[in-house]
Amino acid sequence: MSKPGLLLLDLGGCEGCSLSIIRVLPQLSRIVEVYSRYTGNLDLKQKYDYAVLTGPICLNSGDHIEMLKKIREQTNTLLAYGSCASVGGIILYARGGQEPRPEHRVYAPLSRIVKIDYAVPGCPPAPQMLITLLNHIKQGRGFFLDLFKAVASIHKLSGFDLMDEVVLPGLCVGCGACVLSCPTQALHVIDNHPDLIPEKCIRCGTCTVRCPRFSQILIRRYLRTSIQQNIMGGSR
Amino acid sequence: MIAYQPIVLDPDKPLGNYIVVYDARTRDQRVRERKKTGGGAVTSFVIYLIEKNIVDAVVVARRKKGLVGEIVVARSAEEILSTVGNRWSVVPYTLKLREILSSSNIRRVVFVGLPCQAQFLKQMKMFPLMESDFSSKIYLIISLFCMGTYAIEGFIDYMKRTYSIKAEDIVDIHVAGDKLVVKHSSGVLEIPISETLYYLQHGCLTCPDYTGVFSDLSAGMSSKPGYTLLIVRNKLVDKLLHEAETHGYLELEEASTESIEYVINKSREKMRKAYEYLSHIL
Amino acid sequence: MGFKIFDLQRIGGEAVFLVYGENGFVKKAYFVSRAPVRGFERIVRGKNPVFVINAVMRICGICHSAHGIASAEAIEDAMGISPPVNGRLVRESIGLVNRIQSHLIHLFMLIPDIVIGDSKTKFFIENIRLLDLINKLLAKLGGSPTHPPFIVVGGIARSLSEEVVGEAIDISQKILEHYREFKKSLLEETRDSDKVSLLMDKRANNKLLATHPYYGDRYNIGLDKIHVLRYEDYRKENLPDEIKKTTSLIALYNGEIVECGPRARLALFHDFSGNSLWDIQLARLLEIEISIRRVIDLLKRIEYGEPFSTGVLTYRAGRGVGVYEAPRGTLIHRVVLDTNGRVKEYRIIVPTMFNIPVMESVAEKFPVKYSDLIPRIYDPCIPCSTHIVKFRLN
Ligand SMILES: Cc1cc2nc3c(=O)[nH]c(=O)nc-3n(C[C@H](O)[C@H](O)[C@H](O)COP(=O)(O)OP(=O)(O)OC[C@H]3O[C@@H](n4cnc5c(N)ncnc54)[C@H](O)[C@@H]3O)c2cc1C
Ligand code: SF4
Ligand code: SF4
Ligand code: SF4
Ligand code: SF4
Repeated sequence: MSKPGLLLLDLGGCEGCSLSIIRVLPQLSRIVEVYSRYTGNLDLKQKYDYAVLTGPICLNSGDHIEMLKKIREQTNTLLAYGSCASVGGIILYARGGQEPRPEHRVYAPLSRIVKIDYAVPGCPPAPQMLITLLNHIKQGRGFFLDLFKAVASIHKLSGFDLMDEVVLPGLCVGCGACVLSCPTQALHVIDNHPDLIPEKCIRCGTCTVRCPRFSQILIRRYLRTSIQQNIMGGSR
Repeated sequence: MIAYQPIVLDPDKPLGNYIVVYDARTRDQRVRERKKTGGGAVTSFVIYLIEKNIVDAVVVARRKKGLVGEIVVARSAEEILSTVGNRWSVVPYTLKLREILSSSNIRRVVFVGLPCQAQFLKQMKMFPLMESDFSSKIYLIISLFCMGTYAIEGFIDYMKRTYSIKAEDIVDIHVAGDKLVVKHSSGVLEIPISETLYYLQHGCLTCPDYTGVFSDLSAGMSSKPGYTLLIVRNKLVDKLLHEAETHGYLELEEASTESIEYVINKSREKMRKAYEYLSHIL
Repeated sequence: MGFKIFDLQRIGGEAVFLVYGENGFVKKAYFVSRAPVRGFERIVRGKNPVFVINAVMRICGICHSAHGIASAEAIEDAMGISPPVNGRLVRESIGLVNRIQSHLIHLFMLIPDIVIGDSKTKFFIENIRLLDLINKLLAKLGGSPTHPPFIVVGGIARSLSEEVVGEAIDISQKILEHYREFKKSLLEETRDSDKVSLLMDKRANNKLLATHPYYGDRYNIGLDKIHVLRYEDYRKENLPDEIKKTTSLIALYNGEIVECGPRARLALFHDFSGNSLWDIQLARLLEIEISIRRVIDLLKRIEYGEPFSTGVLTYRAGRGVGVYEAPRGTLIHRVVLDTNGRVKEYRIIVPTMFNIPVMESVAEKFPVKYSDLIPRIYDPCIPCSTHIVKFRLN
């Protein structure tokens, strides 16, 4: 049986996410056939089992939106990989006006345009991440897989949300997971609970999916699994 | 590569996936001298792992001041012994932890923590979202059972106001049945848990995980007095535990059906309450 | 005259190389980048400098540290501070490690062209192994292999312990050993490659621009001599829409085309005189070795107990320039801070802006069939070059 095909493409990010994947290419090639610009075999006409898309989508670039839609049609499982693609990341701050294309004003996570199957934050995610993820997708379900499925239906997720949804409402238990997960060290512990240093947050969303409280809320809110229905008795 | 393990918080599997449950207690004189309650099995086990060079470090919590704890990366039996007993609170992981663990001398680490921390560590190990994650160093995750932790300042104030017990005087806190047992310098105090619920952290009220289903080994009070209940979740841990037993660090016996039933009930109860509370706030 | 569009592959980013040919040789070439313009200069407006460094590093996943350093330099210049010796030593090391990282990624993408036969796989794997070591080193010194968070205004965020630096030196030494072997066998394997001979035969005698062999020097460049143009203004001709859509700009020095990057640095600051296209790659290979030796040297000069960062940041109005030799050449960040110390204006010039006209002119008379090699040997950085703005002086 031939290996499943995987398209790897950056749509307008810094390429950091794609490049982190290149570092595990030998291991990755054991489970999938990788098609990418880096390996010189990029082909946007063919059908893929997986597409791993990195970088955000520019809502003012018709070409890129078309490209994205076409990839969606031709792909079984679409992964928004890395913060820009999954939750917007740094590029949510874009406001356009810059030469030579001042009309490129608004950027968004890919889920704004097409249905995403799994969305993984991280700026960039560690190389090993993709391999574990593909293995899990192949095998079926799991708590973390559900989590990344839930993230696929939201358009932003950042340290500001962590504050709003977990810390300020008093749901934070002070485990420190978020603090250990922030790439810019924008979270620090004050009186046993994290606090955000707003000017350091690049909206990568890593802290939110690492937080045991927030991940639970995300799954609960965006993914009504049968488990919860079981426990709540029926479909409330 | 890390093997696939289906992990869910499933009401049909309130203890998560496991292969065997033991009642265990220490046989190590050093631990016996120091332990306050419980079987001291966790301490003995991690001492075994350190002394036999199976791991380079153990991440545990030590009491710093009053009831406040701090995370320590222990690298010798002596350091571990100084941490015996419970920190009745979540001890937050800090950036310093990552710094210490980045040393090339530390290759394999055992983490002891609470279920919420086990979830985080498991995620880091399996799904490294950050290049600076110490995923490859996480050798074992040991989770202590947890029914919730107190908002520390409020709880201390309450103990002082109501029972005139100062934080510094508290020797140990543990749960026995529906009572919170507080050992302090001049005696033992038993308070109905219901009375203390008000001081639990809000976040804990939504936490569905009693035993730490994301861990490799879960440990809590056994209904058999003087023993630690150990839920073994994979073969590696089982093998290591038996080796520790052979080397005289601890003793193991398969837990009785009643002991297991008891934890199952507590887990179900916690899960039910959590989902109920969560649906209130969402 | 027919034209051919190369959808460029094995480069970092989305771009096409459009060439008009005559009798199989290039008459005219256009480098057109397609990646959307994210506009980092606009993003950082009104923001605190702390944000700026974290943001501009994310312009590029390849030369993140270069942007971080250029930005820190510019902001420090505006604030009137400079990092302490240790901070500067580590910062330079981080930059050099990033330089090697970038060169290795480029090499990874070039291997299929220059290595013939079955040994490709061996070199791929060796290359990735070296990259892993380099990443490990950058994680030690900068906090992470990509977008290293320790680069901050005033120096380096963490005081590195003797133990960490010792480990970093060990890794560096290991890299040096591995790399020497790797380079030797790579050069042997590329001897018979047709594409290599083609590159060897092609001269590129452009003027060179570089400010410093290892770091960057704002006093070694005439900022008023740099002119940034929109592509159509530079070309001054009627361009097809395909080309007008380009998302990058052009930079000239003294009104002339200049090449920057590894060859320019080696030619101006070391004994290096090669002027063929293949020499650009040889310069890159040489620079890897020079850089790692320099890193070892720098790290050995760290004084423990001394600070790594100034600690005091003065938030005040001011303007500053940061000039840094990025992997691909001279990178310039300029900043104007307002009275609250926030960014009022921000401008970036990236090396690929200088190199685009170079690539286009060198491509002339090259066989059309292989002409995609030209931009690729210059290692253009598209994420960077599309995030630049017209450079106005004063
Ligand atoms: C907050 C909290 C709530 C608990 N709730 C329950 C409960 O409801 N029901 C139940 O059966 N058991 C509960 N336990 C677990 C129980 O009290 C014992 O820790 C467990 O039975 C292990 O016993 P032992 O004698 O083998 O442990 P020991 O041999 O004493 O070893 C315990 C180890 O855990 C470390 N440790 C203690 N607290 C922390 C902490 N907060 N973070 C990280 N490391 C720590 C210690 O440093 C020590 O190394 C709780 C523990 C804690 C900390
Ligand atoms: S998430 Fe970070 S690394 Fe990935 S493309 Fe965006 S900025 Fe680059
Ligand atoms: S706080 Fe840190 S981890 Fe969270 S979104 Fe912001 S930058 Fe990312
Ligand atoms: S991860 Fe969530 S619960 Fe843990 S400290 Fe951070 S905000 Fe609090
Ligand atoms: S109840 Fe849950 S969230 Fe609270 S401390 Fe225990 S494991 Fe953590």
